[in-house]
Amino acid sequence: MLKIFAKILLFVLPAAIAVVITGNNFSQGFIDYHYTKITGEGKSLVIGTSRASQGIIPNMVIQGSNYDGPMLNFAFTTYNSPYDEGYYYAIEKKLNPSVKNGIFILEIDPLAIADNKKDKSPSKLLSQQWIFHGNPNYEYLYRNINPFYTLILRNNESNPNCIPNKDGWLKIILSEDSVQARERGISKLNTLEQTLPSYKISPRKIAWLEKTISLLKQHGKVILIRIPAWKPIIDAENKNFTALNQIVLKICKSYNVRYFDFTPFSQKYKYIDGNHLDGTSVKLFSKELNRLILSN
Amino acid sequence: MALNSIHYLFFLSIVFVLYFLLPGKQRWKLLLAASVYFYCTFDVKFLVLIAFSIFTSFFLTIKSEESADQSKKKLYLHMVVWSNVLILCVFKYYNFFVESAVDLFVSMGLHISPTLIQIGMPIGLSFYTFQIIGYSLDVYYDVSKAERNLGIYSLYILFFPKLISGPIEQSQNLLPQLHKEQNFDYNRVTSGIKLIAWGVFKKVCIADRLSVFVDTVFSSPESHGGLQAIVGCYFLVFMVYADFSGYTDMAVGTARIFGFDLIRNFNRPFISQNLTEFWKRWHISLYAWFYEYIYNPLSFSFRSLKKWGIVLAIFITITLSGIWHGAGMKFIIYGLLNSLGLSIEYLLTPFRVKMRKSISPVIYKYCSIFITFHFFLFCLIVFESDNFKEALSIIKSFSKINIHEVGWYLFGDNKIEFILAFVFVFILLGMEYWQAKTDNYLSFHLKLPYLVRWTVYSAVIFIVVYFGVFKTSEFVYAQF
Repeated sequence: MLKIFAKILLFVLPAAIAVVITGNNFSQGFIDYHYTKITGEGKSLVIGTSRASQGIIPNMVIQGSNYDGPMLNFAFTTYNSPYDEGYYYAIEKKLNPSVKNGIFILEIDPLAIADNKKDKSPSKLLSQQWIFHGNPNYEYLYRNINPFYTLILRNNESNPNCIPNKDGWLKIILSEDSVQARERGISKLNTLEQTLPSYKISPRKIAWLEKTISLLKQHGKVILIRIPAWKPIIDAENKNFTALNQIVLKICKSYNVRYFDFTPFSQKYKYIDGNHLDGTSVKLFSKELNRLILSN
Repeated sequence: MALNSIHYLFFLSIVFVLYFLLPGKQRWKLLLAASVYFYCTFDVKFLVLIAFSIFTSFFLTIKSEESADQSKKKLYLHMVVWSNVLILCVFKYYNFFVESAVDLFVSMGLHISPTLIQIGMPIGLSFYTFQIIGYSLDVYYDVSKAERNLGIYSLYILFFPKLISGPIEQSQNLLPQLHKEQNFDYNRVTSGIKLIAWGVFKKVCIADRLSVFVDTVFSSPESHGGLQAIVGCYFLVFMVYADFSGYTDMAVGTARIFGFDLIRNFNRPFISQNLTEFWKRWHISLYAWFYEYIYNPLSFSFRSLKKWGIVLAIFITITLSGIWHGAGMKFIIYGLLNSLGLSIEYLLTPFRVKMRKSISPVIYKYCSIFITFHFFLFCLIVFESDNFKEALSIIKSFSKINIHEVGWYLFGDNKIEFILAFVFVFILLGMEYWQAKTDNYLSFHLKLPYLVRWTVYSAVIFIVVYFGVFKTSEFVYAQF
């Protein structure tokens, strides 16, 4: 029996060596929107959806504070990182267990705590991932770069319109021309107006949000925020989720954490598609968060 | 736990080591525990259901065998058969019948809202139900003895390599093997591992690669040109074959490393010269089951109708085999089409014999293979489409060939994947050709020098790791 296992190992060895060489040489450029979040390290974290992923620059937020750094933007999308079991365990695995003075910004996006009866297929991106540290992350590459040889074809390529930074912040470069941005905003609003009525606040996801707060509180300070978006989009969200702020405030009270809703100031910022802050506004908003952290 | 997952690889390695470390008489117990665990990785809640089927069939079949009274014997048999058919119907067909009835009522202006079953279907239900029914019929007709060891019987039903998608094992084949002590046999184990590797290659390098092209065509048939549709449909045949035969190879290979021989489920179906031959080469265990337990009794009952009795038996048997795949009109039509093909073939036998004598044997052979293959391709398009209308629209789109389309496939974004798809299909066909030459086709390289042989093994692993598509892990037949 030992002979068989030894032989299998021997035959697997060349492929394993080739995988390691490929991983080391071809995983430095643009892999996908999430790779730097999975491989990056951070003692403080930004948690949430694409609004947070694209809208918060961790280095700017934590600058000058006494909280443990570096900070990593560990926010993904409403599909990949709603407050659920998969995201909770991903955060747990990502957390540095020795951290006691971190700062954790939890973004509240209504769709991250809501459920749609029809959509029963949860994302596997985070729930199936075991390893959240180190680059190259072979597990992530194996699961997401499929077939594996395509990693070589990418040849460390860069995507000029999408720059995943090492701190996890996803910089999306879209034309900031106001007409185009407005068109994208209207398109997003139309989609949301059709889909939002089918979503309801989910007690299950609220429970996972609470568990997440409870977990992170053991490692430092937790604050909840709602990131601004184009006013008609925020209005549509508020119209559909009338009890959202009440629910979040109730949670904050029971866990003794603070909630900052920036949506009333949505007209202060500009957006690339109505849903995500544009390049200038991202910096403005991150500075705002920095001031908030320093003053609290 | 899919058979092509890393999870399965670890599971199999652990079970394999423990199996041969245990004393011979205890080994089946480990396999039973492993099979229960394997089943639970899909859905624990249905364990009660499969346990019910196992217990009732076990005890009732013994009762049936022991009973001297023929009517009681029959009663016990009916209890086993109908309780399992009922479970199968409830989980597999109830929603279809209810929804069809609702549609009918709606068309008559009546609106009803009945309760549907929302808990899904137990994994492997169609396969193990048929195995249980086959076993109880075998005992009833004295073909085999009733199993007296509940543990062994449970393992016969639950044996994990064949649990999800077969082969549907006949009791005479597997039960006696489960009683024997299986010793470690180096050649057997290595041959099993090679078969598993070949199955994995078929699944991840061929089936899952082709499925990308097939899904593109079948997900929006109206938006594709003729050439794309034709290529998609040809790929469909090889996708289903590589997927299902790949699964079977993994199942047979796994059983082989533990010392068991499962029956062969595929035997180079694409060289078949007629449909009768095709169905003896494709999903052999299922069609052997239908032949044994449905077709034979029916053709005997209808013997007074002479050749029309045979036609009637074919229609009932093959239509049922279509319905076995699932609830839906497309499966019924799939069954009916095959019944029609087989019946016409049967009725035209004298004409075919005359034809064979009048033209060159080579031309006859290749024309027959061509017709058989394309008839099956047509049936498979119906099988894969959402409905018959969609199948016809795909077939109609064949005529919309546009020369500019060639660029889409050969020079488009998927250029390398498209070329790889062809290369791997040719490897598959090459291996099939080799299989025709020698039965032990996975051992052809044994005469090669060590270095060459080991390079081949490493190259296969390298190809699977680098060129395998690991996103779609579910097997096509796992849904049945």
